[in-house]
Amino acid sequence: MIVATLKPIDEILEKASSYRRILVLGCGTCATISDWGGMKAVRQISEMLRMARSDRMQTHDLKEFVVQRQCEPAFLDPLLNEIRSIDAILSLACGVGVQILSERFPDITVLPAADTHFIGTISNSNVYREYCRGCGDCDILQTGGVCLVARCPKASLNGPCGGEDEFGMCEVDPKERCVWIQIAERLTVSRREGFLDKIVTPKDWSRSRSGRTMRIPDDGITDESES
Amino acid sequence: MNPNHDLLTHINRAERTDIWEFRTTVTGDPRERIEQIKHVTGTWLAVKDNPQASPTLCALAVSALLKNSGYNPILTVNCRDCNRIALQSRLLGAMSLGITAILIESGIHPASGDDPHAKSVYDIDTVQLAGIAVGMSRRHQLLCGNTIDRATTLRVGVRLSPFKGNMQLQESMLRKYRDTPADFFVLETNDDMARFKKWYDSVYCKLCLSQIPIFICNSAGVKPEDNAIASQKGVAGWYYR
Repeated sequence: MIVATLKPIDEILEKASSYRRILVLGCGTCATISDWGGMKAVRQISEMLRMARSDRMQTHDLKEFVVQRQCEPAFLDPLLNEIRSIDAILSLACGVGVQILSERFPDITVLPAADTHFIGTISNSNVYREYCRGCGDCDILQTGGVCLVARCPKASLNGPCGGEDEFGMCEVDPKERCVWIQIAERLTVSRREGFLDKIVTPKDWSRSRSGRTMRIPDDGITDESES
Repeated sequence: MNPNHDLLTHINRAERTDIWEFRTTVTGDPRERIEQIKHVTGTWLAVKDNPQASPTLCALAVSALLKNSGYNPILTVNCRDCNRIALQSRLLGAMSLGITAILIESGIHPASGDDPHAKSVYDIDTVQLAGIAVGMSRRHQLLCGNTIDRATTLRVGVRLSPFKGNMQLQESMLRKYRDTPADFFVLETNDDMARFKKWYDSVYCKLCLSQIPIFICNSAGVKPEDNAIASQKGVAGWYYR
């Protein structure tokens, strides 16, 4: 899932204060799993907007809606009726959702209500971990299913960086164990420790540049024309 | 002192070779700092590369100043601040300036340093950078395959922390550096000499590393003459912070 978190409520209210007619739009996929993109969150944000505007003696016209995925244009069709007479959409979605909304409805201001962080998962309540950086060159088979690009702050592909403490806790986040220790444990369990001694050559980062457009040929699923 | 010394030649000829860490400030004139150490003789000076993830005077520039002042600099290079293109460029610059030794570090992460808003690079890691440096020095070749016309010998050192975290992983890193092959090690021991002795006997000798000289980090002011460790086979000397 895309991991994002809601911006501070004061920042959201400040951004929304310039617009009178606002559609508060939730997203029913990743954001809902994170507990801030579903209808319940949409209503809570709307209520805060109403209260803030009442305090300022401002009039307001708020609509509430949730689409299944803001990141897919096809899922935005139900909005066609909702956006009439709207000044702005307050998007409770990731950065992809905000951009797709802006592309689909270029005459309406889209206000991002969230900060997008990474591709990851919820480990337990309120703890999100990055698991993938979308580098386009996946090699996690070698590392026991652990991605070093996403999970090691120094992307150290050949072993621990030396910054870990005596107990193997990470230099950058002392609450996390060095990801290399997890790799060693997994490879030992699966009797593939040999990888630990293999020198990994410099990674091909050409598939992870910003601004990528991937074109998949009509007759196949292979990616031959990434730019 | 002879600024044209080769580190390994120096190690082979001298009874003991020491390295002193050389740090500059942001504002101070490095020439004044060099003047302050004029009493230091017979050692090598490791020039730190933006320590604490905070910008300082360019380590290559300081190394060149030291070289021109008659000292033997060791250029520290970290993987944090530059991609492979800039790192190779820096090594080419070092070669052209007659700097003959480098020390490779991962570099403290910006999140733990003085400028936490900086973006880190980490295009390549320390093992890969050591391999690239060795390739440039011995095979006269850049990573992309281009040939270097006027390559000079670089002695490539790496910093090791063998007592941290998982011992199996640390041994694996040692094997990789041995196979790269690195020319010297700077060893973080936390001044635990008893543990060093155990590591020396059980790991260093087992992995046939005795041909690769070690410098032991000495941050607690252990007097070399008080400690027999420095006379172990393979131990070149001390690395003073």
